[in-house]
Amino acid sequence: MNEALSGMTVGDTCLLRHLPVLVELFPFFGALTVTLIGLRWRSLCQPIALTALAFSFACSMTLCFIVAQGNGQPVEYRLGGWPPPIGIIYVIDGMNAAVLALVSGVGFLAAWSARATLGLDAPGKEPAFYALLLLTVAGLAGMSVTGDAFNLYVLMEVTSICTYALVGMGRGRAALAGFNYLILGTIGASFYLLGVGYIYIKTGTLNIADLASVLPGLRESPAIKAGFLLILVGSFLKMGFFPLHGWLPSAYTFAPSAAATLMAPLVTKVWIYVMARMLFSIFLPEYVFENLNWSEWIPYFAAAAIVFGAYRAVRAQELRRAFAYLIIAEVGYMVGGVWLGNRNGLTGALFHVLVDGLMTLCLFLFAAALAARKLPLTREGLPGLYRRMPLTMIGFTVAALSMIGLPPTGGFFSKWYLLTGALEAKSYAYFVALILASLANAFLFFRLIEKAHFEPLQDHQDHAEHGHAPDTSSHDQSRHEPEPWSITLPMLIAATGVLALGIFSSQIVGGLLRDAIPEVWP
Amino acid sequence: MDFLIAKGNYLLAVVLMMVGLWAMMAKNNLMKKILGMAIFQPAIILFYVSISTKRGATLPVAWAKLGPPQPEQYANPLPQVLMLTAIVVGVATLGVALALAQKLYRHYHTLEEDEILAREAGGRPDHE
Repeated sequence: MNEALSGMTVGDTCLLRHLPVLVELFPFFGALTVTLIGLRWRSLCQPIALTALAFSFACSMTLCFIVAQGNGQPVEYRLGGWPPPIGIIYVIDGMNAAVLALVSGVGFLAAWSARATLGLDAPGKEPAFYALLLLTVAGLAGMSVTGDAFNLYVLMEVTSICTYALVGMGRGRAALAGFNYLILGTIGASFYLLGVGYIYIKTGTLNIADLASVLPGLRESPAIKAGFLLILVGSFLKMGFFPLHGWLPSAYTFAPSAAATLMAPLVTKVWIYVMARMLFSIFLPEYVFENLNWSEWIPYFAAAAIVFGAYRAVRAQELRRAFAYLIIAEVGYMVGGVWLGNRNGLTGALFHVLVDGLMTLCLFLFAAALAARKLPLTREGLPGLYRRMPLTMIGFTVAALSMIGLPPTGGFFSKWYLLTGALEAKSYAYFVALILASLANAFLFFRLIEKAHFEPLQDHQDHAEHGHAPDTSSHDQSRHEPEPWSITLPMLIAATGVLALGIFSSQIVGGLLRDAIPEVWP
Repeated sequence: MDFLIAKGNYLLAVVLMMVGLWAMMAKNNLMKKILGMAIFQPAIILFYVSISTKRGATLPVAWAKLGPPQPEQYANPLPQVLMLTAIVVGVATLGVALALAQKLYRHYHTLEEDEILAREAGGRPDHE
């Protein structure tokens, strides 16, 4: 098992063996380099960040292929060569290989698009921004591969501290939003730490595989139950699961566009993955779904989260606030899917992690594109956009269709798994909430698309009132104002990803996710 | 009384944790929230350190002159090592919190959350 790599035909070379840690090390050392180089040469920051993230993404894609070829056999990496129960290990199976690719890929696209808006939101802060971005990616990647419960705490705090600072970089209320995020995030992390402490007292180990082998003997222990609850509440706080979502809307609304582009797609999704890992790699499904008599109630909370998020998203005036509430609804989808307790629900939730990461990236890139063109981030900024930036709008439309859940996109397939799982588990409230959320999303997005497609250019009307001579020229200029290419291209890539996830859904689910879900899962 | 002596550390940790949590959730002044955080995190550290203590135990150093190591004589070093990391995390969080509070104070000249919100609400109607 631990020598999974050497059995491969892919190769025995030294570097391949170290892939699991290289995925984190590239952004980590990238962050150090950016900080130092940025002191003198500010224009080099983005290229360095992009290089580091490109290498990281290449490593994670290689890992995906290695895992997919190894028939679900996990790749293990021992940090410093220490054997598992004593040392920290990284374990990569089909599930977190995919999450890893998502993290480094979205990180790359976010860094690519950052330049267009960074000058507006946080001028002169390029070195700090790219360093924090790289550290966030390194932390998130570490969170998704680590096989040690305490190492997970450290990496989650590395990620969180960077995201607090990223949010706080913005103007106006951003600092307050960042501060509240910090307070609630710290409470969440501390609950997690306390829960790990309870479990450590009873088991004497922090290694996830070791915990899984010891915990079944301690099913009746109240300390384990308390530890599980603390860890669960901590992760609910960190992922913004209704009703613990308080920090999320403001943080993602007021953060600098470039920071929101990175955080909104990744942070909540990685937390969903961590929660799933807790349930089926540490506590094991038998404990969660048989010993705990309240586990069937979580899908009801998820249904409440979905309805609440969708309702507030439709009501919200600002685009980014609407998207933030959509994230709360999506977190409801995924938490519900994991807690349905069957294979389809879990597959749907994990697949939705990937799809939702990419489509949320599209939505926030769209908001960044508006910000880069200095358009208001409300419905008023939309008229005439289909003419003005057609390619950006194609990306937005694909993401919108995926949010609604229409067939060629990935959103349809993840929702299909979730709905099937909900029916199998007879969780009708969750089922109805999913359908309602689709309708609400359809209402929200078709209203936006209608505004962007059918209403004429606002500039045209404004200039027409002022006089005749400059009218045609400025009108033409605004009309032909180029798309913000550094945002449009990442957006098109992400939109292609959303479509590809839909088209190749059976390969991804069959090749990576299926094998990662343990046999004991019903 | 025996209970108090045996579990004193844990009780203290719980009391500190609740004090800190209350300050973080209920206080209006941002500085008091930060102070709450500075009480809340050490409470957990106290809890961890308490679980590793042992009466009559010695330093966990494997020294050849002492003969083969005997685990029952040593205090458990792991929770203390973990807490070193947790202290570092706590310091970093505190630093970011103070920096954000400073930024807010420079901008609004107050650290009362409701005053900051009231000042912002003038410009923005869509608030939660």
